[in-house]
Amino acid sequence: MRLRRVVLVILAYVVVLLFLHDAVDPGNAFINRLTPFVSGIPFLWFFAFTYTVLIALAVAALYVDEVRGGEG
Amino acid sequence: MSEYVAIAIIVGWLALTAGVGALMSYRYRKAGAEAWFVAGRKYGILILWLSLGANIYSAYTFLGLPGYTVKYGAKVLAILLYGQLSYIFAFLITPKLWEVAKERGYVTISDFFEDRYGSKALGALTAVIGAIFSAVYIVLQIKGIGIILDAAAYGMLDPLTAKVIAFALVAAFTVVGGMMSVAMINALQGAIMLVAIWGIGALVPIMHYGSWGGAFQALATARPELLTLSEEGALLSATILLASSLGFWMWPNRIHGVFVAKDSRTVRKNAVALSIFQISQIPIIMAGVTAAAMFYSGKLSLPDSDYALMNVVKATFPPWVVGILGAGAVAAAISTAAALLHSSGSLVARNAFQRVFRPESGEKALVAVARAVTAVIAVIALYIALTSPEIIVSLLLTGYAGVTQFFPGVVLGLWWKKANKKAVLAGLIVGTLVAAATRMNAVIPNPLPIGPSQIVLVKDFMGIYGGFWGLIFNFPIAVIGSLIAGREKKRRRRKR
Repeated sequence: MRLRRVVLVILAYVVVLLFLHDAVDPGNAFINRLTPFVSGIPFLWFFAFTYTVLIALAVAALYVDEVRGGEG
Repeated sequence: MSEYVAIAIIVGWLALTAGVGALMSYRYRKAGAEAWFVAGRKYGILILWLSLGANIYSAYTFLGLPGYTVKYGAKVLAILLYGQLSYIFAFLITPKLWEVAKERGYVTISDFFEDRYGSKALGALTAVIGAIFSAVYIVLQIKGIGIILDAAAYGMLDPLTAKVIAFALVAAFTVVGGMMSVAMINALQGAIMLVAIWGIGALVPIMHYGSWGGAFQALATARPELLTLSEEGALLSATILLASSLGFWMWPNRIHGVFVAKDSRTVRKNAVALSIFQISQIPIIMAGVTAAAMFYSGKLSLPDSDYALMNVVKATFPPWVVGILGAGAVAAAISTAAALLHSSGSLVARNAFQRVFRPESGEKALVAVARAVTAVIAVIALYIALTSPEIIVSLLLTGYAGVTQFFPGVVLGLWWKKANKKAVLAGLIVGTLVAAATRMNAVIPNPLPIGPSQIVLVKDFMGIYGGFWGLIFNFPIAVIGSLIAGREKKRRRRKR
């Protein structure tokens, strides 16, 4: 369980590292860019919207796991 | 004539809220301390979810986010993401905090600081810091109520009178009914907020540009630079993400809201459910993108960026829809104001007044003092909101950076036995001062007898968020100080 929690925190903070990476090397930005558009949505915005939903799913998965008494 | 429908819906909603508030206030007019402060710790997931959602998502969600999108574009994504990251900490920290609170009888976050570290000073200091920043937040809600009523009532309702009446009602129910009133009013408010956000916000771009993508294409044509971050923006966003997601659950009203839960499993469920509220910021941001696209192509007029959502909805839907959105937005402002009023009154009465000045006072006296303090804070907040609301925005930003400094004390206190009160207190003081100094963009007179006559405080020094600067100092001071204190203690024991 503890291992899964640590993995979740690390995964969540990948987004912080990506923003830092983009600030250090703006010419080679990974998420801070307009293209490619996904269903007409700029890449940066699509990334942020998707990540918001993914984190909600990850927290929900952690809860389900805890209810089932999973050990990590 | 149809404009009256919008006002009727808003006034009707306020009357319903007032009715529930009055009923709960009557039922709990003689409430004991446990009921007034934490509603007897008896609420299940539905009431907890709606009431805490309404508590957290305020006028800032309805007015601030779309306004911020119009002004700063992609920077708004940092706000969306840090809120969602914070639910990981809600899942990890708040159940543990609830368990300790239940066992030890805590009703405020300052109770934790006082009891865990055995320091009345730490309890009183966190209470005062929390109450000051909460009061600032209340002022913003009152200002928000004025903007919403001004925009949604088509100029047929005097916003000044309306906001004074609306706020006076909230204050009265909070003072009399305590947490029972706040939780029930907020559960109602949370429901209408979700209806307004998903039913209206998500449709705005589709009505104007055919799809969400269409709104982005329109903004990309008018102001493409708003759709990505500048170099400094990326660094600021990263540090806001890190610090604010840690500080999100340090607001006293939010922790206070968690304490009303019936058990720790409900608190865990709530962390999952609240992330749905956070996803609800996406349609509001999309309404902001639409407002920005229309504004920068000359299709929408905005007296101020805070009017973005209300004006774009007025340009899209008939007045009855504007009325529902107005009711949802007023609900957001009122529910947060009620929770903030309640928590700031509780903090000052319990952790500053009772613990420091009247430790012998009983339960009845404590509730009476809490009611009086809440009323006084309400009057002060209303006075500031009516006289000088413009200073508030910068104070609030400082406030967020400030409450983030509670994080090391809470986490170390919960999981590290060696955490020492003096080290945590020193870290908190230094962290708060550093956060304040790096948040404000101002030139102030030098209070010291040496050095230059003026000091320049730089906002987001080196492009890094003030709350993050505070933590850089706060955490090491708390940890290293605790380790040194532990070694000293051991050495003294050996000597004996």
